[in-house]
Amino acid sequence: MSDKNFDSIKNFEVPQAWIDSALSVPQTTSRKKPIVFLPFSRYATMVASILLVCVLSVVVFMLRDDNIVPVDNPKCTQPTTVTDSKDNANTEVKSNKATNPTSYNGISNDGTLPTSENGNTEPTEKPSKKPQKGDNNKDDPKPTTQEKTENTQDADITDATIPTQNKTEMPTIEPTEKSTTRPTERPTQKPTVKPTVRPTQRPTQKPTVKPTPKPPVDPTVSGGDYTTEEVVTIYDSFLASKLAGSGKVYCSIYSSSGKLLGDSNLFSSQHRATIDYKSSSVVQVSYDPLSKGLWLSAGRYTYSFYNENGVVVARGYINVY
Amino acid sequence: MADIHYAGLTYEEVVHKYHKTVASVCVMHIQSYADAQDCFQNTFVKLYQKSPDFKDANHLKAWLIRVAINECNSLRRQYKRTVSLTQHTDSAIEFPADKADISWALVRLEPKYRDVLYLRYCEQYTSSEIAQILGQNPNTVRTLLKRGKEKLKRIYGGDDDE
Repeated sequence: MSDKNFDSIKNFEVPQAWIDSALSVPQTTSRKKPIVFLPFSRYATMVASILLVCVLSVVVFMLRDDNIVPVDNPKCTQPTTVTDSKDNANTEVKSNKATNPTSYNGISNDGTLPTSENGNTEPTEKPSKKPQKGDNNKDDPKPTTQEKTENTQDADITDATIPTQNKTEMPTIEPTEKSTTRPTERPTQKPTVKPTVRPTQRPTQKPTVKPTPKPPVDPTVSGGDYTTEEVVTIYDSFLASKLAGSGKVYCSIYSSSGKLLGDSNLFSSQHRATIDYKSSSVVQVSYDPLSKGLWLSAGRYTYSFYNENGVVVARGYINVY
Repeated sequence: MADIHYAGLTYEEVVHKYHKTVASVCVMHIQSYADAQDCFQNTFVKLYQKSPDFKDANHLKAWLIRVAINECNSLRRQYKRTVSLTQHTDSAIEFPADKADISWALVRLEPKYRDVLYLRYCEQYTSSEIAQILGQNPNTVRTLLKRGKEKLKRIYGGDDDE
């Protein structure tokens, strides 16, 4: 191809009209605005996308966190049903989730309070004839075989709660065995044995010096979680027999260091609890510290409800975050 | 107008300097005066509208050739959908059947061979430069050159060793 050429194409004579039309382009057409891309725009887009995803994740996480309701929040508790065979009717009772049967473990049915680690005994209204005074039922929640046999002959729950000499357990609410999960229903089986012997020694007069309930040693039996932003109201329930004729219930709150909150007089109006519900078997009480002038900051608190005689009827703990 | 420069040249200077190159590409692709003129003008319209930044004059020339080829291809695609180019005989460009000038044979080649042969033998570009202009692999360009030469020889009837 050395002697060949493309002169006809290479030396193509361009008509003057073509050149003129090309030169007239600036007069006839307008320039488009050039699109200027930012340097590293691809990387900037990637970084911006990642940041956006992170921010959205944090926002979603925070929104979800606000919607989480504590499990032990008393506002979320489902009512449990207590069957009373005597009345042959179901009584719906509002119950705090935290008020599981183990919450009564620290109190014997005879009114005897458990002995604390330093040997102090809680004041009692009904003296127990049991030799081991101050024995905590939590240590042995399983009823004995003899007690089970006695329980099969009694159908009156109210009578069964009257303390006897040889019956100190509360079979209607005590769990048969220790469990890490809280029971959802109360046992429906009623004690069948009527107590034959009424307590012979029953105090007829109020104690002149009202005993001071000690803060519970191991208050892991009841309670709930709250936040400092919400109004803390303590709910609890206990057997009506524990009131023992007393018409008032008091509540005392202790901080984690054992310091009593509020008035040192445990029977002042500041410690007065409200009885929300009262039946022949169950009493429900509540205590609103804020309305009594007690502000609970973040921390762990123990509380105990006690009657006019100073007998602790319910206790538990609350966590305020 | 005066403020726009393309590799140091004004628009008028670019038109005067490269009008022959652009016209050759258009004529080689489209053997019709009217259509070649359209492609020629569209090439300079794009230059004016886009106003890209050119590194040097070679870059500007390569860009003009590339745009001219694209304009011709798009025009050919339009005609493919509408009317055949063979029907446009009124303004057809005739190349003389000279023994030395084989432009007439070049325009009968397939476009892919035509482009590489034109850029190689008319514009004196290397294979790498042709590959850069056409956006192809250099080895592909070399293959196209070799095959294009064989096809061209078959058209104008030259010997293989020429």
